[in-house]
Amino acid sequence: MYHRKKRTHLTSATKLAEMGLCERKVHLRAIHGDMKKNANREAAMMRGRNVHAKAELGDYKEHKEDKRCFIATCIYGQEAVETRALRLFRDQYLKQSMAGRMFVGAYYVVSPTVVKVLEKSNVLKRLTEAGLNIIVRKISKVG
Amino acid sequence: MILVINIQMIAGLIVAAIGILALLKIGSFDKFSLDADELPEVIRKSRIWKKEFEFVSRKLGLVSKPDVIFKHNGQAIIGEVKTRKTFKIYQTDIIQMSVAKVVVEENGTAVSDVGFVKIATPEGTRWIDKQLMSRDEVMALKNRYDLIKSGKIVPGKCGNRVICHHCEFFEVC
Repeated sequence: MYHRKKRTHLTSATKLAEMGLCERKVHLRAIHGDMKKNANREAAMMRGRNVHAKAELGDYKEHKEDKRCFIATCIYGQEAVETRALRLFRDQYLKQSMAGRMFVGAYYVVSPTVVKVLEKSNVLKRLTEAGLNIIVRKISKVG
Repeated sequence: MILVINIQMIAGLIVAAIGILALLKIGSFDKFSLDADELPEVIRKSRIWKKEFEFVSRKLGLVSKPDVIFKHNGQAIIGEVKTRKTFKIYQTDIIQMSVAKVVVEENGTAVSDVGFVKIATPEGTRWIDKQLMSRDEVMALKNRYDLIKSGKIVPGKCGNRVICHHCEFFEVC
């Protein structure tokens, strides 16, 4: 099952996987050999190696959770179920597309101002809460 | 006072816009689980069989070292760990796991057709399952790889300009 003898004729899964990315890379590597990786690539590889080294399958405590969700935090509180649902919606849906990431970025720019206004006006706060409740219910499929 | 009303109106409009956009997006949100950090049931019921263990098939000319292999009801399940900015699965992940599947199978263990990728992002982690390629598909890919490497066929271009730009061969390509 496990050998360490001659392996020059063997193709690794990683090398073959490159075919899914760019076939030309395979061809160029065959001609030029491995090129020097740039600093960003080296840093990314180092990050990957560290995560693999620390991998306790089932948990990744070294990753910080992005707890920003200003309006929801203002309305429901930092650790409320609703805030968490909205954070997951942001992370698992909105941040998966370029348009979504731009929207989240724009939201972070304007939301601190929005929160300041909401904190001064109970009417606006209640209106926002009502709107957010509908969204949260749809996301969480509650009710 | 006028300024305050204007700010309130702008704030209200922004909140309303966010709400409307979110509602429009929610229709396709069903496919995501809110318990994203939890292990998939099949993985939870499995035990870890091998971690970073190298499998070799000299007959097929393939070598693979999957990050983890689980075992469930006598069947191996291939698992890979990836660090990314987003929860995205690429074709490279599927090929990598498919090769692992073929090599492990070649070594006499039944392997599930579904593999799992654990993606670690700054926002958290998720296990995503993917249907793996068949043995024939993997071998066809291996043959194509050999032909490209030996210069017998013209390789296809990279379809992603961003990846292309960051490629180590960008200058010579």
